[in-house]
Amino acid sequence: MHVELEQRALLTAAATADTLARDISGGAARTAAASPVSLPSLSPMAAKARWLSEQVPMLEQLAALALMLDTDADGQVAIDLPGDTWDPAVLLEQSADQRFGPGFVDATGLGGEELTTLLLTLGSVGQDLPDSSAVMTPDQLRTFVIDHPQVARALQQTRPAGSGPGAVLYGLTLPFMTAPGGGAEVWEQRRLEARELFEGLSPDDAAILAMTYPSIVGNLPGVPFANRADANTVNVVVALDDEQAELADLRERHEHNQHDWDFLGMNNDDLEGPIEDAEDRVALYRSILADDRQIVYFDPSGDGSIAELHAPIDPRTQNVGVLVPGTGSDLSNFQGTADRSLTFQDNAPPGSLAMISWMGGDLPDDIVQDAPFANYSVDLGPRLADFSRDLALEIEHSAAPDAQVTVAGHSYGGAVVGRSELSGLVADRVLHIESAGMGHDIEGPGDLPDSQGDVDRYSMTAPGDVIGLIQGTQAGDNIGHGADPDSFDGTVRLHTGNKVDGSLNTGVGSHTSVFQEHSDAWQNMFEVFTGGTVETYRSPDYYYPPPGPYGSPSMPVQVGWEDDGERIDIE
Amino acid sequence: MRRVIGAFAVVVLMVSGCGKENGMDLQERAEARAVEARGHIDQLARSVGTDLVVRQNSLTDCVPGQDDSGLDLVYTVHVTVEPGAADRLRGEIADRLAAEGWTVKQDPEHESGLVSVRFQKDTFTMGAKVSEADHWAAIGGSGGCVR
Repeated sequence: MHVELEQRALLTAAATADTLARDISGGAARTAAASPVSLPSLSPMAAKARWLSEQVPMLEQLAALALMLDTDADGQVAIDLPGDTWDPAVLLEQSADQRFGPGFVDATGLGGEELTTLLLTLGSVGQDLPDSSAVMTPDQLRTFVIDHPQVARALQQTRPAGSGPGAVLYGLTLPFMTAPGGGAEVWEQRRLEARELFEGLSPDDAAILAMTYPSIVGNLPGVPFANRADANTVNVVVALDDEQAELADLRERHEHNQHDWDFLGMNNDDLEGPIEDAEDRVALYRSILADDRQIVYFDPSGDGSIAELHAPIDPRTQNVGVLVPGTGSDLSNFQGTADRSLTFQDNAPPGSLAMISWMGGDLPDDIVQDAPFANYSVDLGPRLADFSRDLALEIEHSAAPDAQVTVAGHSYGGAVVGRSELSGLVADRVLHIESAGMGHDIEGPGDLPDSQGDVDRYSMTAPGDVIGLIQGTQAGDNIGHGADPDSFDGTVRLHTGNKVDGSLNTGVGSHTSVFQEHSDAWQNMFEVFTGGTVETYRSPDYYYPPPGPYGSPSMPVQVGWEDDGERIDIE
Repeated sequence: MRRVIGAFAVVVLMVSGCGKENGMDLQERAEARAVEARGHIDQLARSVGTDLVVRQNSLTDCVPGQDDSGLDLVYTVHVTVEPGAADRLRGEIADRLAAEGWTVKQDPEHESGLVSVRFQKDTFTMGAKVSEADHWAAIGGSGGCVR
């Protein structure tokens, strides 16, 4: 049997039939209500309208089938089928599995009209389709996926096929043998091609394409941030579903621990920490989905990786800030980093500063056991540099191509930023905040590539912060974080000022208090992010107590500041 | 023997219970400080402009990424301002707060015209940034890190 299908005509027919059925039904009812005498001829009209209405899903199903089979996107398909009868529903499932990967339809758990609507929506990318209520908008698809975690899970398994935009996307993921300019040249070319692919689609098509292939698009270099966020919505839905299951399991085990053989209760609290972490991750994922937060990098495995763009880069944007947190950071406490980024963004004139919180991989868990080692920053540095190239492309293609970029790292995050410079971080300004160092193996400006010649560097370390003990120390291949950022040639050292109560911001606690909103240190960070006026370092004024009774030396005590800092305009 | 085990179990339960109580206590203490801080910040915001919109209101880690570093209020509101708001902030508002015991810091004016004044008193800090060109001001602050 030979079958020819045109999705555009079928969708038009479906919409027209639906309208006609409503008109007949409504018209018959209105006429009957208006007539002073009984009109028996109207009686069959309701049944006819219902019959007509029942044809609509069939027409839409055929349209969906046509879309699934139309891999070259020319608007029509012709198929030869064995025998004289065929079941469109079966053929639709087979063709959808062929289009998106084996088992796709089963994995969605959908059937009937819901499945048809999903397939019409996913298949609509790159197609010239008439307006139809059977095709979801990106917002509707987003809501549908949030309400159907099983669909999100199925979408994570999709693999592009055919010759449309999905196939172009697939091409960007294929391995390559070699290139005249080396692998980096290919990666950069692919970054541009990914950008071109999504920018060449309508905004709706780009968003739907991203949500159709979330595993590929979520972290794919070059993809516009808005579309990475579309894809990561799907990925976060799955992560939330997984985390909720994990949390339920932990709670069940915790409950079991309270009544198990361990009558001394030794294991009663074992799972409290993991439960709190899981609760925090669930809260984060829920907040991301409820508030439509723009997640431009996401991987929930292990301690997790995430990057969030807190405001759009639009014509008002003058500065973009990236904040990299330090030791102890993971997905369960990412909200803390996001909150700090927002303090800077919300205190800048509307739209002028777009902040990004970046935690693109595993950071040390423990200050003593992990943080002295460089392997985390050696791994994360190139990732941050790669992300900065995506950010540069995003800015270049935005309505604010002159926006200035500041990349700031706190504590161990400073060493990450330092190592990213070694990989060609694209930034106008770099800010080290109570930083562990300039990055392993970076002892002077000569160790940095030529690309970093125009980067303006700033650093702040409060007097007495214990991180000062490790700044500038390095031993072997994996211990220490290179030069001291405060004294690195060409770096402007900034004042950390006083704490909120007016007392000196010094000592162990200063590592914490620099982020307090509107403190002197916070204000200096704000000025770097916004390209304002910074206050440079002020030397601490120490009082040296007399030696102890047996001549033992006393610890000097800071009593004030020895000198005034300078005011420097950043631009 | 049973009595010893029972007593030990009671001690263990008390200790584990204490940990939970401390956690709750931190949250309560941080929230109490936050209530006071929000009061100061809202009052400053209403004296600078109108149409107060809360942009950020959360108790967050004192150190980003370190959930054992204590809790700190992050609270920022936006208001609409009329011409002259920046002068009033630097003048009468700053004078009034100084008389109430707040330390006043006037930051250099931004090239963009952004005027910033910050206030400190006890553990509280707050600041106002006014951009008359945008008819806008941000007022935010913190009650300080509660451990």
